Amino acid sequence: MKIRDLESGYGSVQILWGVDMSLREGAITALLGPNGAGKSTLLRSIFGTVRPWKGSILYRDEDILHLPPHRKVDRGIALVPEGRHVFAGMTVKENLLLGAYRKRARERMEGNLGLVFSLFPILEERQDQRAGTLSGGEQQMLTIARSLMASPELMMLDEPSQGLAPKVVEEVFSALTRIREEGVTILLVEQNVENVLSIADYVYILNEGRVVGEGRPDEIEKAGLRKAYLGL
Amino acid sequence: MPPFLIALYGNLLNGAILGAVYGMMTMGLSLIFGVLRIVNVGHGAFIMVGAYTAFFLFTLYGIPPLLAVPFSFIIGMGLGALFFYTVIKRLIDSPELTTLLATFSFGVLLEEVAKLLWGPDYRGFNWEVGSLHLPFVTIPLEKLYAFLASVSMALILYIWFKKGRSGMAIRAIMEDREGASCCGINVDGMYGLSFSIGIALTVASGSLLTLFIPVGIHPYMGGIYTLKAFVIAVLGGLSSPWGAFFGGFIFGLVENGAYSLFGLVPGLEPFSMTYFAAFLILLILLLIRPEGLLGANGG
Repeated sequence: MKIRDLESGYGSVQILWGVDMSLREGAITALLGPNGAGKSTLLRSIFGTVRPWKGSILYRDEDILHLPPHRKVDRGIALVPEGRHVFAGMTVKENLLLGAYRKRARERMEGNLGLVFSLFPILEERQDQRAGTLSGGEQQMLTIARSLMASPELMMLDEPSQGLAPKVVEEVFSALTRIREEGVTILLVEQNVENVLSIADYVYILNEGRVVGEGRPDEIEKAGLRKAYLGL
Repeated sequence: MPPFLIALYGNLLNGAILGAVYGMMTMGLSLIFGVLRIVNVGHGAFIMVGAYTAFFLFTLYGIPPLLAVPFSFIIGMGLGALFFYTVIKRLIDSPELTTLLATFSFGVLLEEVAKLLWGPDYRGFNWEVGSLHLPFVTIPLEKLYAFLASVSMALILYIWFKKGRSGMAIRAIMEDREGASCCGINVDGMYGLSFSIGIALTVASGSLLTLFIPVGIHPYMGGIYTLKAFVIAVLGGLSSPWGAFFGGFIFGLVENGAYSLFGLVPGLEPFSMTYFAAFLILLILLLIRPEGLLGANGG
């Protein structure tokens, strides 16, 4: 995926001021930056829940800038939104089935269900339980699992470790590396810099709606970008 | 049995029958509110459209009101889709006042068009199909049919909601719009579908209501039903169509039961007091159980 000169925002408030970014297939690309840098807005603009203003998003030789979210899902793009957006009144199983809502995903439902249950065995145990009764960590796993049910080729995650206990964070991050092994491209927004630098293949740093640095994790360390923009 | 008890028994039975139609009348309102968070203030005008549909199908073509229900449903789907794609779609994320004004205006528009086309007269018709004789009470069969039709419609809606693919998608949107969007559910499309089905149910219920109002069909008949539907929706927990259906039952029972009770008080005109009783119940309920009888999300 190649993003060129992307501008976006809410109402008349511009958040992104021309973002350029490339994602390598099968890799984990991390997106770091201080609060309010526009990381979530960037993910939402790529997915289409926020309508981008201008620029281009080239994916498999097609400009998908103005496609609505469900058409993005049809092309194998998934977003795991910030916070835990599970369907609390429905069972874990129903949540997962809704993840395979599009026709493309329904055809591969059995295989994906197997993958999801092997990644998060706890969800198999709890499949008949209402999602609202799960712990915070389990709900986050369910949100990720539900996105996997859509058979994504590119998976975007918005702060999946937010508010989770260290042990659960570890579990989520190891799941991400296993998802990468399945050949899924990952774009990861995180505050949890330490963990991200250990699993990411490439890093972009966003500040005030612009890309202000990029490189492999070791290059980011060397260039001191981490200190400059992330205060760590 | 003392005559009062016989009257009460008869009224309660009739109340349950009318209550089912009230329930169906309110399911559309609740569905639209539950999914789109829009209060359809023009609700009654759509009931009026259904009543006229039944009236003309019967008087012009001899089609019985029960068979008018599918016609009304289709007309409702069309009207709902028209209203959604011309107006509502642009207003989904607007402040409440905007959507209140829009639905109010659309209701007034429908009423005025009805008056222009069919005049301001009160109309009605009689479809007589015999009666069911129970001990102490006689129930006109057409009302019993209306009851059965309402219950069937509610059941069909329930099954679609629980098992159908689009029904599940709509429930997902009610629970978490962003989550639904991330599953690849076309949220705008589902908004259009729920709005159209909500209006279709309302128009169809208007056709059934004609069986209870022998001479009550006129362009402005909807107002009182809008009020009743609001009370029933609150009884049922606002965003739950099933809550609305049971709320309708309770409203029908209270309305008709109160009629019997107030009839005992000398000098009181019982019919006008039924509204008083209905709204009194609403006030009491709001005080003790503001989330509605079945809870805020009984679906």
